[in-house]
Amino acid sequence: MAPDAWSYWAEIGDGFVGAVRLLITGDNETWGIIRQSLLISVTATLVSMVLGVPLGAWLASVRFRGRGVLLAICNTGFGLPPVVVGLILSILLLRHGPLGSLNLRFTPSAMIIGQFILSLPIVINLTVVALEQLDPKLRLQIRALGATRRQTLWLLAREIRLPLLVAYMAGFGAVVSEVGASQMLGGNLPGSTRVLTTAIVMETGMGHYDRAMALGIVLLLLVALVVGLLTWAQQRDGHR
Amino acid sequence: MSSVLLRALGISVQRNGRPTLQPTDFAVRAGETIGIYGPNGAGKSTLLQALAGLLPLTSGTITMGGQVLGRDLAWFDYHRRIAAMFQEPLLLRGTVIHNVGLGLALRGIDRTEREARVRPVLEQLKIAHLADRPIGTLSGGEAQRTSLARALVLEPEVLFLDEPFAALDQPTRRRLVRELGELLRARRLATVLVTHDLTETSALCDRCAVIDAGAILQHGRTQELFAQPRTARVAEILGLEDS
Repeated sequence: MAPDAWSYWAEIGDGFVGAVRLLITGDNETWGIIRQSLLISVTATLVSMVLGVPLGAWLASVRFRGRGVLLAICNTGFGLPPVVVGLILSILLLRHGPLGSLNLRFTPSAMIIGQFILSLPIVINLTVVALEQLDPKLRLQIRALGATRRQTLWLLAREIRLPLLVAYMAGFGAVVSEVGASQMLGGNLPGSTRVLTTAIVMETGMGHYDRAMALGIVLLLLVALVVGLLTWAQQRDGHR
Repeated sequence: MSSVLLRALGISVQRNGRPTLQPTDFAVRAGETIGIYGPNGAGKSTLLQALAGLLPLTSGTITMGGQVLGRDLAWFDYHRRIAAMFQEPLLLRGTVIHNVGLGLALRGIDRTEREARVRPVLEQLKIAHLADRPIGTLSGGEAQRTSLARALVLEPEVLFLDEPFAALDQPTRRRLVRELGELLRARRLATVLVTHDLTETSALCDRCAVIDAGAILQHGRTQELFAQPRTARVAEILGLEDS
């Protein structure tokens, strides 16, 4: 192997060792970024569940002119480019923009709003699909059992709890790993809006491969955790 | 003759602008089992679901004990006085005992009382040994017994059964029809049964309505219906055209 290649792999190796050290020693900055990432993405996905599940339930249960258009908008939202969301929200949040008075630009709240917009269509869509896959007579049966409207919604949600978990995980997976909207709305401010993805981009740019790799490992572990939880839930559901 | 418990006057249903049930009169008397018999697509399930208040009516009224549904008696309160069972068991996640007690739980009845009311019904339907089994592990017959138990435990004033055993194999079906007949006679429970099985009709129903293309062609006591079909179409539907 040529000396240049040796030095390249040695640097990568050093970076990996440094990454593991940062994680094991509980480096404040690294773990602060991880905490902030989780806080922002978990909150954004939870809010999108709170609003998205009832909206999805409503869309699945009603028939009206324009329903197809609404569903198409949700489908489009599935592939919504994070940078476009970041751009539109940034414009709205500019000091003289319509939402400028809220002073949210470069705050975690702006990032939560951006990630909420990105995960909402995913949650709505998966809720609609899950409910439409249920036997239509199940609603009649629940009604005939004397359920109130709220009890009906609760029982239906219980029936689709696995797809709802999938919706949450899919929404979370999409927003925790996006960089465009987070960078534009948060600005990557240390201790405030610096999250895993924006920090990885910055550290890589600065040549701090150890920290970039440490954060990359955590991001990969988070995605693996999401997939692992889903697989476990699916297998458990198979034995219900 | 027993008093009329449930009466429908001129009820009709449209789906997607198309009439699926013509204006129909129907009466259910206390303690009787009344069958709705007809070919596939005749409107049997539509009539049953309309009577059970599970479909919006295009016209007509239903009264229960003299109270007009939707005016004197809210649909929700009506649903708490009836029970329905469909061709598919339509069980929800959980165990057999959870499903059987579900209607009681929705009425706010606590776990101890639920258990006390559910256990005898499980015994009666021979599924007590399945109480803690998850519903995903039940056979078709066991699932339908669970569904029937869920309806019976509510002690409904009217029981609506929509081809409850149609998806089961013949031996299981025959056994369940026999047991259901015994149960209904013992409880003197007013029942509306949708079927396209003549054996079920004659085994279970005191009276029967023959329906075709969304309209009742003839109704009366089951034996009389078979003895004197009013039209050639009724005879054909009852399989008597060659006799």
